[in-house]
Amino acid sequence: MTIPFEFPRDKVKAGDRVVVLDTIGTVLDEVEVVAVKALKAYDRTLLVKVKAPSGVARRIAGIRVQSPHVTMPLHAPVPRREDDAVVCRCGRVTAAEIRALVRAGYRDINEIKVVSRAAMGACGGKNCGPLIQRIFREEGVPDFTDNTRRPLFLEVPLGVFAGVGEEGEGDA
Amino acid sequence: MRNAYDVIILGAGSVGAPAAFALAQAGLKTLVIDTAPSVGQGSNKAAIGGIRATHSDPAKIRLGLRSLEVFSTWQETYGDDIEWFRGGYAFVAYREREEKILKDLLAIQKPYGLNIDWLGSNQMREVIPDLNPDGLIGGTFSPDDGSASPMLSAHAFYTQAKRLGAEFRFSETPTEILTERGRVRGVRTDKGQYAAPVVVNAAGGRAAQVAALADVNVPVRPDCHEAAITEPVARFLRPMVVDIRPTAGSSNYYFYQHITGQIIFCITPSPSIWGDDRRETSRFLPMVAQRMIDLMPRLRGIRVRRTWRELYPMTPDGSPIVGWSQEVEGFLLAVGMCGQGYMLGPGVGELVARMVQQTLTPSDREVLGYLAPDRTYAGQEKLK
Repeated sequence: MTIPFEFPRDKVKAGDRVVVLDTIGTVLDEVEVVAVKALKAYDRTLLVKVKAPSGVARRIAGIRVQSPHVTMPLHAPVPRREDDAVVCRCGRVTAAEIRALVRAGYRDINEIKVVSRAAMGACGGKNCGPLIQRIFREEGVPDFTDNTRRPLFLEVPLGVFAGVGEEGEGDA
Repeated sequence: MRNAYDVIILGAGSVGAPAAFALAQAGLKTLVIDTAPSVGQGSNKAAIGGIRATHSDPAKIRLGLRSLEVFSTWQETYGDDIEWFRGGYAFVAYREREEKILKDLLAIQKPYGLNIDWLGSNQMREVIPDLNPDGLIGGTFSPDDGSASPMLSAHAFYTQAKRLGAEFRFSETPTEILTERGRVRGVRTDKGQYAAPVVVNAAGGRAAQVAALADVNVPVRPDCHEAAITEPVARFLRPMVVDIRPTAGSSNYYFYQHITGQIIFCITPSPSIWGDDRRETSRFLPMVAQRMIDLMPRLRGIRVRRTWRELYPMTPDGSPIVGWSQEVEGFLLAVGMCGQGYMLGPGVGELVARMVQQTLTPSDREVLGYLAPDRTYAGQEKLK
């Protein structure tokens, strides 16, 4: 059975024993790696060939890389601290900061951007935009102005626009 | 009387917000009306943030010097961080033509006491180490100029003005400037009616349409400029760099490193692109990127984050229009800032307040002489 593997190359080599899982993460068996192939066409994805009993082989979807405790339930529930949630990862802005602005009367997300720096980062508000909208609705404020979306939708070096490429990665 | 004010300002932007602050400081009951849902949503937030007093027209030099003082002392005076950074302005020369233009300007600028000097190529490279040395003659450098965040500045003027009692009505569009026997009486909007003996037009790119609400003509029409901002990188550049060489498709362009580490830049299209179409184009970035990398090869690896297009409210001679309308008494024009509304705003705002209070100084009268709405518009500013 050959499985695509998208973790660092040194994580798996021929001769290793690995735990194989099905599509929902159920442990199927511990099997032997017989070959690891890296094809240029697959970029950094490795092809890991394992030897497994026929009853198991057809159900294999992946190889376990984390130790089992990572996915085990905790002994007690973790109290929900929603306001600590980071709404904008680019600017590290929390839900509490946005909520305070909404409560202070802010109704234009463009203005929230200015004072909080949310949506000013690399992603252009792709992630925080819907989360900020949700906070408005949670606060019972249905009427607000969404922020203006502008290009670029991903960051591109100046050298690429100039047709001379960027440093470090060779000239385009 | 409810809905009665001393002054109504139309436009909560680069000029309207500081004017509201200055008027509220003077104790006048001030109302600001803007079509947008919050402060500074027109051309203010499109300004790249450069602030200089080193102009070539005496009125702009004076307004610029005062504005610079307000921006640079804002945080210590009022507490709001507006991201002020004193990095200076550098106009670079690679040809005799630009060397002559800049040296001729120096002769005008020096008598006003501006801190600006000519630097040879080696001195210029000490100020801007990454400048392309090939053919560099030198340039002018004014270390007291700087930059700040237009959005944070407008927001600071707005919050301080509110604190002093100024009222703001957003998402509200003026439909008529009410007059009676040639005198301003107030403003009607799509949501209400407000009385005041003075109405200030601070509508930036929409100045002509707003003046038309009082049947007044102002010779302001917008042209389009585009700008962009990059990801933040560690500080390597202090001044605003301005290259005034005309090239096919563009005249001057300028860029600087904001206090957040981001490079912000802009180019002046040639010929001008008239109109008010604010949609970004795909022509802008290749054009400006080539010129910037030619001037500073190190920029090539820095990634562009966002781009936008906005309006320069232009006048026939390239100088702002500040003064009382000759047609309608009580209608004050603070318009046609020609792309410098942000950097001139605090100075213009205070001047507007002194006009309304009738406390003009001799220097104010001289400034207003240059900016009068009924001037001939025959001159042409040397360096816009």
